[in-house]
Amino acid sequence: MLAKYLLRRVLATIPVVIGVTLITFLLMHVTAGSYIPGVDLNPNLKPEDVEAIKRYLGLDRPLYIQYTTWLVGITHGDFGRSMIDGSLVSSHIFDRLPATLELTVTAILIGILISIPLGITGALRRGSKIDHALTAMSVGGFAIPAFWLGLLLILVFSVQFEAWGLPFLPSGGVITPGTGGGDLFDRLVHLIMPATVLSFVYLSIWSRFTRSSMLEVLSQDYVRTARAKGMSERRVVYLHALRNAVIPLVTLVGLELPALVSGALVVEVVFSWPGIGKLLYERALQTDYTTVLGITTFAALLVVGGNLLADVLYALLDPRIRYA
Amino acid sequence: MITPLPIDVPAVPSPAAPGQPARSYWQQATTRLRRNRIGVASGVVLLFFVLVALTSPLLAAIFTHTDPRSIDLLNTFLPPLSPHHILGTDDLGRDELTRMFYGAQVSMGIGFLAVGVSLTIGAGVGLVAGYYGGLIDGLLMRFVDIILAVPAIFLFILMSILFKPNTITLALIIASVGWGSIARLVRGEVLSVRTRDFMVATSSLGASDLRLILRHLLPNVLHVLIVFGSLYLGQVVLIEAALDFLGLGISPATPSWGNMLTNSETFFFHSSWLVIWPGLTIFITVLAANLFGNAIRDAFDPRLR
Repeated sequence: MLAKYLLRRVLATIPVVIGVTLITFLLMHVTAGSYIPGVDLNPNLKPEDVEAIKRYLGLDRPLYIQYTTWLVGITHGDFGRSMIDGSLVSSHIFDRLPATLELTVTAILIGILISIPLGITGALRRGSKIDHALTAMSVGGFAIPAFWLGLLLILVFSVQFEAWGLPFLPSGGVITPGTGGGDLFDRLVHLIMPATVLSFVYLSIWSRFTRSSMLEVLSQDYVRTARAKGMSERRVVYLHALRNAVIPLVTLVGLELPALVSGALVVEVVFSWPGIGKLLYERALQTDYTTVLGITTFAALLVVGGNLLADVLYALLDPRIRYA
Repeated sequence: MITPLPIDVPAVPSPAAPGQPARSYWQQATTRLRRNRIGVASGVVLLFFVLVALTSPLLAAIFTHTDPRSIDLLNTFLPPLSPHHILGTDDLGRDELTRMFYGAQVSMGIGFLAVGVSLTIGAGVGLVAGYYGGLIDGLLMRFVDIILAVPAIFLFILMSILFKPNTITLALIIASVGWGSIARLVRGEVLSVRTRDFMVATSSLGASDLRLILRHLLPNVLHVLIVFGSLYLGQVVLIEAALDFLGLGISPATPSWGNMLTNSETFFFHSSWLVIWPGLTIFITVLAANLFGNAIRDAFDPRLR
């Protein structure tokens, strides 16, 4: 039964993969078509030269052949070449991936480590001033534009602190230019602000979620039983209730895994963080369609793969799900 | 793409007291909404921004006497409370308040248009998929899976560079992703309503598919649409502002709260108010939209609290 479920789940992924690649590919082709950058700007190129370039790039072949060639390339890890400098998109992606992961993993860890205690506090002191303050904070954190928060932090901690002669935080980048990046402290100092901004939304959502999940668990019979047996409140909350309360949170955090690659785009731009998002943004401004297409497809395939992985893990962990 | 909002407002106790005449679901919901003070207040704030958007040329004529595009290079970076420029001027000497008025048009216009289009398409697809089931359902829902698998921000950027959006196309770009989540929700609701007795009875009386869907299913999933739509508005405003900020939204010639912040890091060390005003306005708008959405959710779907 389990094997059958897993097989069905894997097979169901195939049309989604084809669909995702087809949509991004067609979307680009509809508008960009067989456009080659610079060709229409160069008066020295004869029409037959343009034809030769198109033939060389494979743009004269039927669309379905171009698509399948591209798709076969992707299965080999080849996400095409940049339209502007002919460089491999995949090599760009792997150049930039570590910086993005450094930022997003830190932000998600901060989010988890702070939101769970906040959520528990809110649930245990339901209706108190602290609870209301936490609610207000999370409502505000959810509505604040990330790029604006980033700008404000730079304004205060980089610009004003420097003006006041205080130690100030760097306003962008992963490391101080020219230092080579071996200095761990230097990396941390650069990481503080972008990671804070990025973790803000996670904090808002997850602390609320922990709170309501905790409240629900605390009202259940087995918690009442534990209390009735005379178990200390500490043991009830942290040993019995918390365990069940964080299960739904695991799902929620799992849903954010695709954001490991795509979620930081705006923050990366604000803080000049050389990650995948910044790469996509830079290439988008240069209208480097093929690179944007390659990165988008790469990220989409990660989402599909991540969803598959999550479902498989769930089926392995929770027997009730298999027959659904 | 839409995450559940991390907000809960205390539930209003059900007002149906014994001896009182039975009231419809809609009456109960509006009563609950009116009793929610935070909800009403944020609704008023939202309404204020809608009115500003609708009357921005009038407001500019009355209060600031200037055009959002009129450049005055002799008066750049005037601080707030300068004569004739209550909120100051920007790097090209344009009046900040006037631009804020006009920015409301973009945010509110795109916000409501994108929500409206998303709801229409999402409801249509969700109703059809849920009602017919089988192959149609499978195909439509796989399509939704595909749309939602591509990271939304990447898809927006891809479409933005391909289509060079104006206000309407940008709303359509945002809606082209937003309908997916709605379709999923509506379909789920339809699946549970479809098998109820009144549906079986109506169809055995010979009602057509179209009649069943529009007259009997739609009213029963309407609360899903209302709740989702009101919560989605804040998200759209945020996404739109972010795209404008990145320079990938509507062209900088049209003032918007988002593109007023583009490149602001180049001058904010001497003119921080130019960073404060637009961002603060976006924040307040999104906050009001979210709180109003929560109030709507509590009013129309008290179980969800």
